Amino acid sequence: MLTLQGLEKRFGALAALSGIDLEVPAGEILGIIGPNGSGKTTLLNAVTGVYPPSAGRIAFGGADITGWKGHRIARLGLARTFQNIRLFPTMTVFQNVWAAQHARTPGGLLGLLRSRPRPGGGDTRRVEAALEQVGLLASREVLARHLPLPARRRLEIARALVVDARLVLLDEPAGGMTPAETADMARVIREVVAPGRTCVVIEHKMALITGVCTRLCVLDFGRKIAEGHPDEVLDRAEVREVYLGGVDASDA
Amino acid sequence: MDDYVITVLSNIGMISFVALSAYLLLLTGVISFGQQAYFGLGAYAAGAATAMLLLPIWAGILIGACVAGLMAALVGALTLRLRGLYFSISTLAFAEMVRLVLLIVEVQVEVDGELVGPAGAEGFHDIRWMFERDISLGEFMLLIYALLALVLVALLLIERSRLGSIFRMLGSDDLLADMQGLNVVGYRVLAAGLAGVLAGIGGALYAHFTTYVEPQFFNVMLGVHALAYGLIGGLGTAFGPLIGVAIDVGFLEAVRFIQGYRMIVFGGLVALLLIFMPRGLLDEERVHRLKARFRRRGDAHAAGS
Amino acid sequence: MIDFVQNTVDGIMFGSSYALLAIGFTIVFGVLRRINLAFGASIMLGAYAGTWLHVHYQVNVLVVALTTLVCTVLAGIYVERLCFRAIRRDAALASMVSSFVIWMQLEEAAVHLLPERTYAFPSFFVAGSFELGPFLFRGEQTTMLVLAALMVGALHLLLRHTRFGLALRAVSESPRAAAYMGIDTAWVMLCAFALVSLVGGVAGFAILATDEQITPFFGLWATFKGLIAMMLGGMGSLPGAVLGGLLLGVIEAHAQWYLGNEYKDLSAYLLLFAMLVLRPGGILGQRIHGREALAFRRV
Repeated sequence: MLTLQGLEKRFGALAALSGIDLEVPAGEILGIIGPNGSGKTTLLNAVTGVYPPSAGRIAFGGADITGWKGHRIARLGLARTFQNIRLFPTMTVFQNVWAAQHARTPGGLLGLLRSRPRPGGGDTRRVEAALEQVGLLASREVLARHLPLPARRRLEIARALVVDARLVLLDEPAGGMTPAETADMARVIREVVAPGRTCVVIEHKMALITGVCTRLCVLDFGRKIAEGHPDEVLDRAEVREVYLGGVDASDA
Repeated sequence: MDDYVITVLSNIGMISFVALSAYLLLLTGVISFGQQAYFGLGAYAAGAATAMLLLPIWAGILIGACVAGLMAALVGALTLRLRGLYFSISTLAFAEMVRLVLLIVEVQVEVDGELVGPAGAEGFHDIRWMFERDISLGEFMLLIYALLALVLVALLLIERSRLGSIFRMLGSDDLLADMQGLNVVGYRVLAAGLAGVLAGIGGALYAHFTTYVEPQFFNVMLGVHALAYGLIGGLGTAFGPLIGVAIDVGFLEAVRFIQGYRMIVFGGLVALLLIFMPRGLLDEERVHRLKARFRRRGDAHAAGS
Repeated sequence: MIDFVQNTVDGIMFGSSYALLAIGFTIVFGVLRRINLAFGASIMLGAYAGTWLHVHYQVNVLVVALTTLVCTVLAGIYVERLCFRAIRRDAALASMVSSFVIWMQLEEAAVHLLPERTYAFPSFFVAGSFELGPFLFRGEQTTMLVLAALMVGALHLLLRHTRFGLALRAVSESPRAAAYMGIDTAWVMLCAFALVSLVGGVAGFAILATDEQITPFFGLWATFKGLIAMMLGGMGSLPGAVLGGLLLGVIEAHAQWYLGNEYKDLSAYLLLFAMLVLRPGGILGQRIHGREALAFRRV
């Protein structure tokens, strides 16, 4: 589904990513862990076209998307969430999800001039279904900026659901959440996002990683230092050293 | 109504077009200091159409709108890739370029034994469509407001459409819009073209209302005002810039003791609003609350009857 | 060929005043990452205050100079408080818009002070013209060039070799890190505004004393020339501002000579526009990749 070959990203003299090779087969939930500044978010940004990679190739679903702009990549069926949550704050919950949907399929000039979805119409039903899945249907008319944090993260996920993305990239989906909220998020990822989709999850919280991921990849200083089954990877000495060294794993 | 009142009202109407033009771009998250350029281009193009080519007024307005719109889209295609700050400066540079070019351009043709056309710094005189048809100021004012109403309805319809939603996405967070599959630059060029059309219509009307135009009128002062109207009135709805125009031309013009100090009051007002209400009086959140209130009242009404 | 060299020399002379104006923009941009469009208008208000004293009380030229400087600095501080301090740091565009409307406000205040089209501005320079081979050097312009060179030198020393300069550079690198290290960033920013207003006041006074007259177009003129010169040279770079100012002067001098007076300003705007489209970072600025800069700012 997603293939990275020798991916490299430099900012001036700083190499944020170097020589990353990664293969994400369809249907997998890949976790990416690593200390702060190890290049996790840079990897996500390079894949989603926020900036072009400095070297290497990225392929998604058989197409070489190296150097493509974000909106073209998104239209191939890729959706993401953001570490610091990006929503359209002055739009309602419903409008946020609807916007994600029609942005993907504008449908020509006439499509652009089509009015808001009518109650009971096809668009409305799709948006409502996505909101239902993440448990936000009741707050559909609330402005996104007024939502509490866990609900905002779920709204970002609803956005990925409504466009039926093939690949979903989650950047710290449980960031800033309590253990109970984290467990709830793990359930949403397992039961709602994962079925029928490929996922890449960046996370610090071991509770979430071990709870949902089928494979794990560890980054340190922009390099991949380990990859494999979660239990096996977390057991390795070098991983424990760079990542878990001395810190309580459960809330690092 | 005496001629003074008609002139003030007509000015409000014509300025509203530039205000809406700047507002449309603000909606998509870019700030233009240079919409006066398209107002000027529209005025000159429309004036040339009726006074030099002797075309009817509707053709003049159409030509003015098209020239301004195409130019705006072209310039937008060149500059909308730039970051916000750079784009704003480029609009300022382009507007001054247009003004200076109009100060140089001299193209005159003979019509009925008289030379008509842009004459450099002297301006473009004798756009006499109104006199020749014996049309009164009042009648022309009706034309202005009819067109303004048309444009406003179109904008409100766009606001309700997917396109309006897309414009707001760009204005709210362009990186997120890009990540969701929107061609940010493309849609902004579209918005710039539409904004150019709006300013062009305003300019076309202005040229025929005053019967002459000169480059000095399209200076940065007009650009500041156009931009400020949206910021005063609010970016939540297309009525926002019109409220801004009404406050400035209507209120500040009417209050005696402010006269002569208008720019001081106006400038201070905008600067304070930028601090306390950065998206104007009717911003998105207030519009949302107003709409919700109307909807509730509507529901209660329906339930009661 | 002689014409070409003479034009270039004239351009450099005149460009030195543009360089001083550009320094005002570049220091503010370097420290705050914002553009102060009211810069020219604050200089204009200061100069109008000086002229007002001159017109009504026939004061000495030194008093005019002092008043111009003091009032420019006061206007600069007013702009900093209203358009920069009070507006959130990430709202660079709001600051620019705010300074844009305050530009108009200051301009109108100045015009209220002196409502006529032109006023005589006291002349200061007494140096005569001199010839060097076939080339003519006008005395007051040469003085301007020397003055500009002295001020750039002084600024360089100030920025590189004083505690204040260090604080200023620290804030421009990273305001947050500077604040953690105990630097009062708000105070530094205020000082930066006072400093550039001082530079601008000196530049404004020197320019006006050369012209021997002042008009209400001075604010617009100063803002645009400084802005264009900064953007040509590279935003936030001191050598860039100097280079941009001199370049702008030279190009305008040639445009005026070969194309005519009305093309002088046009060529400057055209240059700015072309520069923005082709290389928005300026000659000495680093090339800015829009998408990367955007991402760095927000992701």
